[in-house]
Amino acid sequence: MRPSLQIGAVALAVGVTCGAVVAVALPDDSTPVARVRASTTTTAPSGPRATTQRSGRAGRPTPTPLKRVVAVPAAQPVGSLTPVRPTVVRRVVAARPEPTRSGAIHLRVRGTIRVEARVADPGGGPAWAVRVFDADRTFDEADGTTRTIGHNRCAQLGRIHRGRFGWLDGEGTFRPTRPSLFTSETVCGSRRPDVNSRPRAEVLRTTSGLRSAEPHLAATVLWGRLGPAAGDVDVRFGARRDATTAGPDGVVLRVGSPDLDPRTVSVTARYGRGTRVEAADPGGLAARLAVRAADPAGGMPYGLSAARGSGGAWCVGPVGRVVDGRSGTLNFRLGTFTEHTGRAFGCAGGARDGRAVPVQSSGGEDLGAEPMYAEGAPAPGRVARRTPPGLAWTAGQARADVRSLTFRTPSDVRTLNPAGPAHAFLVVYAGRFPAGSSELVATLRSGKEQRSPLFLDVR
Amino acid sequence: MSDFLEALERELVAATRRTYGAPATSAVPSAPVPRRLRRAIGAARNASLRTVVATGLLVGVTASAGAAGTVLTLRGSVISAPPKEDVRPEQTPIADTVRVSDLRAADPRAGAPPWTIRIAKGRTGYVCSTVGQVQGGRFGLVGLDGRFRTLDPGASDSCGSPAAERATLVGARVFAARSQRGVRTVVNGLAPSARSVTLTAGGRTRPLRLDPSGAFVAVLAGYPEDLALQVRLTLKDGRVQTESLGTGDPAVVVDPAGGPAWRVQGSMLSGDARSCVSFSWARTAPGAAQSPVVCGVLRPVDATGARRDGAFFAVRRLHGRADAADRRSYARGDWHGRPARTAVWGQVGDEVTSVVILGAPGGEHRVADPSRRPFLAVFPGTVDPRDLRVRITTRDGATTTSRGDTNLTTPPTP
Repeated sequence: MRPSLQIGAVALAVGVTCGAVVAVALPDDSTPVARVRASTTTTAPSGPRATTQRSGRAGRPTPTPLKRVVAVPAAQPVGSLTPVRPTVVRRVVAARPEPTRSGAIHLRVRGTIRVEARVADPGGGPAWAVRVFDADRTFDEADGTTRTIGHNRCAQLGRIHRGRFGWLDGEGTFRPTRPSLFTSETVCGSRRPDVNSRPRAEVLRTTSGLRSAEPHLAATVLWGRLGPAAGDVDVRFGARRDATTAGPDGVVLRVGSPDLDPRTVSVTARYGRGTRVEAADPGGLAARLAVRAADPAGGMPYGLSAARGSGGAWCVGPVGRVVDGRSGTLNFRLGTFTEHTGRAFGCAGGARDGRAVPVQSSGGEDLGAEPMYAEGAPAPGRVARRTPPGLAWTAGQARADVRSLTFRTPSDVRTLNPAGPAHAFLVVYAGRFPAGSSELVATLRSGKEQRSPLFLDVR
Repeated sequence: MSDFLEALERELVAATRRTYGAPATSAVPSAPVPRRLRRAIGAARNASLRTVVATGLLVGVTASAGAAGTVLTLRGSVISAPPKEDVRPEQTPIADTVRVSDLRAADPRAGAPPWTIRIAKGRTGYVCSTVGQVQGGRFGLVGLDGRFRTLDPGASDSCGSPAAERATLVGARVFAARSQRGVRTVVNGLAPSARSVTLTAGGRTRPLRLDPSGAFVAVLAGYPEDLALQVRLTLKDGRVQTESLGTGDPAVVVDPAGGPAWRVQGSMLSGDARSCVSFSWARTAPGAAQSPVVCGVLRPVDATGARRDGAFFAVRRLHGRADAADRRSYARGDWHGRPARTAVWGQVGDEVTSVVILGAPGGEHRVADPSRRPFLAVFPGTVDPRDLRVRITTRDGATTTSRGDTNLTTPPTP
C-alpha cells in the first residue's frame, strides 16, 4: 500500500476511534454547557452609574443621581448556596419586533427613559439595570384602530451590553429591547408618588444553557419600583437586609445565588402614615418537586411541586418545567424561571366528597393553562419521534387509599401509582385530543374502582 | 480551489517520485524499521513544506470525517429512552423482555417501512407497548427527516395494568409529518381476552388481525378525528368493548371530502345578549380555514337565563381568501384559499329537539345532539346553499323550515 493511503487509513481509524469515544463518553449536545462552565471569569461588581436614554431619538444624557444599589456577591456566605453562574454574551442580534396581532397591548413612551438602577452581574455577564419611563398603554382594536387604556409609569428590567440596554436570554443571545411588555420583564403602575400604595417587586431566576442537555438556573433577581414616596423600606434578600433603593422612583434591584430560598426574599414599604405594604410575594410554601414526567418531544421534563398547606395537609402546585430539581414556569423566550412555591391549586386533605382523586386538572399548550411560554421551547426529539404539535397534561393528587390510576385516552392507556407523601400524579401527552373519549380509573387498595371523565382538550 | 488541488496533486506526485527514486540514506537504519515505513520517512524528509501542510490537512479532514461519521452512526441512529428520573417505574419497560410482534401494517405510502407493535414487561409488572416501523429487521421509526432510527428497548409509549375484562392497551398514536397528507395514525393495542377486533375509519369497518398475544395494529393517513376512528373489541366471553378514538364530540364534524375535521364553537361577550358561532379545523394549524362568526339572540325563558329559546344559523358557501382589511376582523373569518365548502352553522335553544338539513346530497342530514349547542353541517362546495333547507322541530312537535341565513344579528365588537 502506498504511504499516502497508509496515512489516510491510519487517520480514518484514529477519527473513527475518537468518534466512538465521544459518542459513548459525552452527553448529547453538551457543548453550550461546557462552554458556559469553561468561562468562569467574573468581574467584581462595579459601582452604580447613572445613564439616561431618550425615547425615539438619541438624546443628550442627563445624569440621574442614584442611591447605592446592592449586588449580592457570588460568594455570599449564606449556607452553601451556589454562586451566580457565569453568563456570557455569545451573540448579539436585532431587537424582537412587537407583536402585530389585535389585542396586543403596547407602550407609547412619553418623555425620557432613565436607567435608575444598575448593578454588576456577579457571574461576570452584562450589568443588570432597571430603567423607568412614562408610557401610555395602548390596545390594538380588531378594526385596526388603537385605543389608549392607561397612562402609567413603567419599569423595565434588562442588561447593559456595550452601552445598549437589552436582554440576555438563556442561550446567551443579547437583544436590544424597546420599552415594551414583550421584550423583557416590564411592569407598569401608577404615576403617583405613592404608586397608589401598590408597589410592585418581582423575584425571578435566570437560566443558562437552555438548549443544552443540562440547563441550569443562573441567578436570582429581585427587582421592582416602590415609587418616590416609599418610606420605611425593608428589602430582604437571603441573608442580606437593608433599606436601599435607587433613583428618584425607588427602584429595587438585587442579584444573587440561584439557590436563594424565595421565602427569604421580601420587599415592604410604607406610604405616609399608612400601613406597611408588601411589594413582592415570592410565595410562602416550602415546595418540593413531587413528581416529574418526560417531555414527549425530548425536551426539558415537566414537574409538579408539592407543599404542606397551613393545615399540614399536602397540596400540589401548578405543572411546570423542571430545572435544577425545581418546578416552575419557564419562559423560553426570555430564559426566565419562576419557581412554583407559593401558589397551590389544590389540597387533597380538605376533600370530603368521597372522590378518590380530589385534585385533578388538565392543561396544555392549546388550553391557555400552565406551562405557558412554550414558544421556542427546545424539542430535540420532535424530528426523530415525529411528535405531533401540541401538548396535553393532566395532574393532581389522589387519596391515600388509591393504589393506582389508569388514564384511558384516545392516545393510549397508562397506569401510574400516585407518588410521594403528596400522592401526586402527572401525565404528559404529545399532541392534542380534539375528539375521542377519555377516562380516569382510580383503583383503591380495597380493589374497588372509581371512574371519572377526563377532559384533555377544549370541549 | 482547482488550482490548489492541481498543486497538491503535483506535490504528491513529486513526493512519490522522490520516494521511489531516492537512495536509502545512512541516517535511516535498515533494520528493524520496515521498508515501507523507511520509504514514508524518506518521503517526509524530502517533502516540501507545502506537501507536509497538505498532507496534514488531508489527515485532519479524514480523521474528522471519520469521527463525525462514527458519532452520527452510534448516536444519531438510536431514539433513546427518556432519562430514568423522568419516567415512573410503572411506565418503564424491562429492556430484556421486549418482543416485536409478527404483525405488519403497510404504510399508505408505497415503499415506507411497515408498522408494528413492540410489547414488553414493565418494571412493576404492567404491560408496555411501543408503536414503530420495521426496516432491515430493526424496530424503529422513520423521522421527519426521512432517516430511520432504532427505538431504544427502554423506550415505550405506555404501560398499563393487565386487564382480563377489557383491552389492556388500546389507542391511536399520531405521528406528525411535514404535510397534512403525511400524518399517520397508528391504531394499536393489546387485548389477550379479545376474540376479534374491528376498526371503523372514514365510515368503513374492517376486521383487524390479532397475533397470538392479542396484539393488533393498523395504520391510516390523517388524524383520528378526520377519520372518526372507532375500535370495537369482541371479548372471548361475548362482551363488546367500544373505544371512541376519534368520535364522541358533537362539536367535531367529519369533512365530506376527507379533509381535516371541523370544530364548531360558540362564544358570548359579557353583558351582551348575542350568542355567536364559528367553525374551523378541529386541530389548530397555521393557514386553517376559518368561517365567519355569525351571531343571534336566544331568548331567555326563565329569570336566570339558564334556559333559552330560538334559533339562528347561516347557510353559505365558503371559499377564497380574506383581504387585508378582513384579516383584522375576527368576525369575517378567512378561508385561506382552502377547498370550498357549503356549511350550515348556528345555534338553537333548549326547546329544539332536532335539526335536519334537507336538500343535501345523500338525503336528509340530521345534526347530532343540537340542543342548546352550536351546531355545524359541512357539505362539498359543489352544493348550492340555495338548495338547502333547515327543518327545526321543538318539544311541542312544532316544525319550522327555513332557507338561507336565518335570524342573524351583527356580531359584537370585542
